[in-house]
Amino acid sequence: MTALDREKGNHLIGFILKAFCFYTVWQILYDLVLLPDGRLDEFLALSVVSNAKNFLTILGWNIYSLDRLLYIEGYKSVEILNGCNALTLMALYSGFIVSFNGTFVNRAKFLLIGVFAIYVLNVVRIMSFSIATVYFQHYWNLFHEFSPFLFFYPIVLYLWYQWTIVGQNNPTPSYSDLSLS
Amino acid sequence: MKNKLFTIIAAVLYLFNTILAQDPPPLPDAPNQGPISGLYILAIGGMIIAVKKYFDRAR
Repeated sequence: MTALDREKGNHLIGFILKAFCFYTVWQILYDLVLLPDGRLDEFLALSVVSNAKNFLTILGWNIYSLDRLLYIEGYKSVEILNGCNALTLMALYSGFIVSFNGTFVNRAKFLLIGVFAIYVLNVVRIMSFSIATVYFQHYWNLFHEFSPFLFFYPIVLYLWYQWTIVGQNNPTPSYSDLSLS
Repeated sequence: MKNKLFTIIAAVLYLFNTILAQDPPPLPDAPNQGPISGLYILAIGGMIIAVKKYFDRAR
């Protein structure tokens, strides 16, 4: 193993450690602060319901909402639970961006763009769930099971991949780069 | 007279509103719920991207 390989191996271990720390801190923060407080989950769920309802109304659907429920008259409703509001996915996405090397400005850009994209995609996903109750309720569970692979994961993987390219071109200066030796 | 007219108009408007206002239709069944599944698969995908990038850089 060359010195270069060893250095890159150390970078990879650094990435894994940073990601591990990020997700540990996130989980503690979520379990102890955000979940008991409930406002962030509530805001995300209700705003997704409201936006999905508004867009479907614009598209001509006769749709109703009641708290976290979204339903078209005569069909089953869709309920946006805490697990459906994409907060966990936003945290997972952010963990990668924070852990991989890159400049602060680029990192902030990728975080904002990614979190916003996930939010918008979740609105589209919930809209599609409501329409699915009309056209293929029998296959709703199957559609729901594969919906993240359709809506979220291609975009998230694409953004992560782009971030590795951007971060690689403008890495954060390490201590060894700053030393005079 | 003016006050009486105002009271009648207000009462009529209020009654019309009450009569015309409708609740949303009742929920037909238990709701569908849509938590996001397969996050671990995405995490594995991210890990593969990171490993590939670090080792590509090493070459």
